[in-house]
Amino acid sequence: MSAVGHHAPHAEHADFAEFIRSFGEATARLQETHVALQAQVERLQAELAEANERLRRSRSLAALGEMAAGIAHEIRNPLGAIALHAELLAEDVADRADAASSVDRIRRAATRLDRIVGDVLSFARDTRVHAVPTSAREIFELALADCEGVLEQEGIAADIAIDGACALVADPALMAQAVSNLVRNAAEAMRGRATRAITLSARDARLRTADGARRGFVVLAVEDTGPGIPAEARERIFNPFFTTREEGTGLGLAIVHRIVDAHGGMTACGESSRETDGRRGARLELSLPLEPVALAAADGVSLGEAVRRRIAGNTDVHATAG
Amino acid sequence: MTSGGIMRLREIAARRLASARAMRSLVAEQPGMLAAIDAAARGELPQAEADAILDSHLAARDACIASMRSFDDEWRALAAGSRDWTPAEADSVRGVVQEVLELLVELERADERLAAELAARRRDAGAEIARGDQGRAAHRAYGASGAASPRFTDRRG
Repeated sequence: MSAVGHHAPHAEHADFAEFIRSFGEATARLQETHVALQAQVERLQAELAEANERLRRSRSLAALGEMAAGIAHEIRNPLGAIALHAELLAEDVADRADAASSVDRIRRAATRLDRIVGDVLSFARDTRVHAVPTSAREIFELALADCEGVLEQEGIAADIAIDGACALVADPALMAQAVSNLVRNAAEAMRGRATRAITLSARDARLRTADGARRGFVVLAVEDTGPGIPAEARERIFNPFFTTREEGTGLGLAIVHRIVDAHGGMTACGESSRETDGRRGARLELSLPLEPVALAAADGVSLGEAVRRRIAGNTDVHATAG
Repeated sequence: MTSGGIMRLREIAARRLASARAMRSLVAEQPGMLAAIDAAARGELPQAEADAILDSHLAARDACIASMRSFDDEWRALAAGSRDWTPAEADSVRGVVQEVLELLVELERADERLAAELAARRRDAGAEIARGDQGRAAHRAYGASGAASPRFTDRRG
């Protein structure tokens, strides 16, 4: 065999040995990929479990809301009868103080019950947005007109501070209902405090939304000089049936959330920028897109989807505002 | 190398080829597996069922890879003696090893596709969770109010 002839088989053998060895490298790579995939699957399973838990909770709450609405609907007729007869009785016993006092209590209880029933029905019914060009000022003025009696009764002054045009396309009646709920909450929270003031403010802002894009919003805020919202309650105050009061149904702020959610907006809560009597009151923000986000018809209005979005995490604007 | 050694190497190569083929057949399961994940994400399939499908798939892959790698030491030792092989002996192994290597390349690509699909689903699942996390972060950013107990609900309920 020549030297050259001798070399060729050696080289060929060397290549072949390398070829054989390369098998080990290929299987090692495959195993590495497999381990990475396993880790990814484990993380995916954990994330799916969490997402599913949120879905399950939202469905439970939606089902509870629908059941409550069914009951509320049945209550309304006999309640109407109670209220009507209490009115008639009030006229009959007007000259008897004790009886008149009892009848007055019945009337007030019936009125309160009617409000609760109204809240339950309002929460559970589909929220349809009839959007028209409007402004933060119009919404605030409608809301304050709605709360006029409460503010007068409590002796609370309400200021409006609007920064910029704050023009948007929204449902002014629905939004006024949302702001009115916040104002009523604030009035109640400040009861018994030395300084009682409510500020309704609005500003134009560009905020980052859940999809990462920056969009134009009008941010409506209601600030009070009450004791503020404890940190442990902030995450849940917009959840349906969350209440810290014996009398509450926990639906008032859930209705606010539903209204804002139906506009494709966001809710947030925190501390007032002003300090009063050494403490900061509450600040609730409703951030509305300049035009309502086009949600799929069923998604936009149904209770189930609204609650799902709520439980999925009420997106708050402060962390991403700018 | 003895003819027994060659025979053993061919036998191992054949087993590895069978494992690689089995693993390739598992690739066909992946669309169904991904559909199960999607169904679980929509709440249409109990997650335990999707988990079982995923776990079973991974276990089957694990077994195939373990089988392929189980003869590594012996393979290396046999391969080290390949310089003594005749061309005919080398050719008798080369074909099988070549086919296994081609299958491994195919599997690597399939794994890349699967990893991308899983990552997309993780992004979807994470998006919902992230919304909540952003909300919590925002709430934390406000700081504690110092109030003794929760008090804030709507006066009308």
